[in-house]
Amino acid sequence: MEQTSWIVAGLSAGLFEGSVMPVKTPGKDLAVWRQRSGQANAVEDRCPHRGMRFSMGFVRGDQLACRYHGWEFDGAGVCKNIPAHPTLQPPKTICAKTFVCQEVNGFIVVNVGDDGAAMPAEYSELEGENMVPVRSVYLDASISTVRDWLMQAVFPTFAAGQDGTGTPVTYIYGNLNDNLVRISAQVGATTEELILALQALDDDRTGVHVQVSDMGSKEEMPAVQRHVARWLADLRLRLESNDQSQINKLKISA
Amino acid sequence: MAKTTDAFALNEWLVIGRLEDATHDKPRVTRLLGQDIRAERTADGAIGVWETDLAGNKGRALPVQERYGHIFVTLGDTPRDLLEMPEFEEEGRRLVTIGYVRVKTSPLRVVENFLDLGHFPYVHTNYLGAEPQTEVANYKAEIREDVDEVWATDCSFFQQKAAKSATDGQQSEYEYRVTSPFITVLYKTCPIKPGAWDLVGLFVQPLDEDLCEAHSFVLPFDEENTDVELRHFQQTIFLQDRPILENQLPALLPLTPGTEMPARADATSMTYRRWLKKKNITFGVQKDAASTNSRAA
Repeated sequence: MEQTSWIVAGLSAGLFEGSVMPVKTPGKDLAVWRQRSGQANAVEDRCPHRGMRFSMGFVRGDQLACRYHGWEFDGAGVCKNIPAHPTLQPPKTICAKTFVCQEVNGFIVVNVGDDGAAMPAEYSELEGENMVPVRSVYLDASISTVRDWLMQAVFPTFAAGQDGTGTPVTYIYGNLNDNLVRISAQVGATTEELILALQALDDDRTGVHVQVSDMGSKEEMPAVQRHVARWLADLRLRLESNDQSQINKLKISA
Repeated sequence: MAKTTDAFALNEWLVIGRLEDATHDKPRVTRLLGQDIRAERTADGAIGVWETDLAGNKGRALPVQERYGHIFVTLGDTPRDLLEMPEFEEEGRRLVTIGYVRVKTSPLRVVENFLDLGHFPYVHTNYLGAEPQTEVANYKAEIREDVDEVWATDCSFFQQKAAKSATDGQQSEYEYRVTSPFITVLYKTCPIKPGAWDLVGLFVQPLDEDLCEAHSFVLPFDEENTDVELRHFQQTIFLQDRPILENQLPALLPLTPGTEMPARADATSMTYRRWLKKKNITFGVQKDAASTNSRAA
C-alpha cells in the first residue's frame, strides 16, 4: 500500500448546505464547507487577511465569509468581497489556500498534499456501491491502533440480532488502503458490510467515518443505522477504556 | 517560559494591574515577559513589586509607577518614558477602570485588534457597527518620529451603540495613538457632549509571548451611567474580541511580508507592524515563517 496524501474528511451527510466544519489533520488544519448550491470545498483553516480560522466563519450563498472582517472567498479560494471596501474589486493576489475536495459515494475525500496526485483507485472504486451513512466517531487512539482493532473486530450483525437464532457469522476483513477498512459479515445467505474510513487527527486521535451496506427496505434501514451506531459507541468506550479485557471482547479471536 | 531577552520589551513600562488589585491582604501574583512577579501594598502605603522565583520567594525589587489608576513596572534599567495623557487633568472627565480580560494570544495581536475599524460590523454587531455599513473610509496612519508614536487620524465609522451613553446611532470620529507596542489609547466622538472626545485606553500586560491580560479604562464625559454600567459595556466589547483573538493562526504576530494580506483599511495595522519591525521587537512576534498553521507554544 502506498502512502497517500488523500484523506477522508467526513461523511457527505454530515456537512449541510451553507455550513463549515473544522477538519484536523496531522500538521494541517482545514475548513471544509458546502456551498448553498451543494458543492463541497476544502480550504486551509486560516484567512489570508489576518489568520482567523475559517471554520469559525459562515457561508453566504456560494462564498465562505471570515468571521473577523467578513471577507468572502469562492470555492477556488479567490477573494470576492472585502466589506471594508465595498466598491473595490479585490486584487487577485488575495487567495486562500485550497485543497482538492471530491465526494465519493457519501465520503468527503480531500488531497491534503501539494503533490497534485490523482485520487487513489480505492476511493473511486467505492462509487456505485450501495451504502448509507451511519455517523462519524472520534477515538482517542492512533490510526494504526484503530486499524489493527478494526481488522479483527467482531461486528454483531443486524440480521443475527434480529432472529436471535445464533446463526454462525463469517467475517472477511479488507484493508483497501491505509485509511479504508471493509468488514463483511456473512450470515447465511445475507452479507452485511461496513466501510470505515479512518482519518488521523494527530498521533493520538482518529476519526472513523462509517457507512453500512444498504441491504434492507426503506423502513428497515434506520434501524440498521442505529444498530451500527450503537456498536460504534460501544467500540469507542471499550477502546478508550485501556482495559485489555474490554478491548479483547471486540476481537474475533477472543 | 523564562524572562525574555528582548531588550526593547524589557525597557518598557508595563501594566500589571489596577491600583486596588494589590493590597496588604491580597498581593497580585502574576507574570510579566515570562518573569514571575508579586505586587503588594507595603507598610508605607506605596506599592512594591518584586521578581519571584519558582517557590514564590521575592528577589529583585522593581521600579514602580502608580498612574492612570494602574500599576506600571519595568524589568529594564533604561526604560522609555511612560506615556503622558494630559486628558486626565481635564475638568468633567471621569476615570473608570475596566479590569482585565485574559487572552491566549500574542499581546501584539490584542493591540492590533484594538486599532482595527473593519471588524466592527462582524465582531461588535449592533454596538460598534453593523452591515451593510461596513465601509472603512480613507484615513491617515503615520509614525510620528518626533514623539516615536503611531497615530491614525481622520478615522470614522457609523456605529449603532458607540458607548454606554449613546441612545442613537452616530457617525463616530476616531483617532488612535500607539505609544508602546503594548499601550494604545483611542479618542472617539462623545455621544452626549458636542465637540468632545471620549478616551478608551488599552494597557496590555504581556505574561508570555502568547499569553496576555488586556487591562483597559475609559475616561469619558458621562455623568449618567454608573461605573458598573460603563465597565459592563467595555467588558462586553472585549469579550466579543476574545474568541477571535484566540483563533488567529499563528498566535504570534507575523511581520514577514506576504504572511498576511492587508487591505487599505489596515493602514494602522500596517504602520504598527512597520514600527515594531523598526524597533527590532521579537517578543510576541512569529519567529519561523513556516509555522503559520499552528498555535503550538
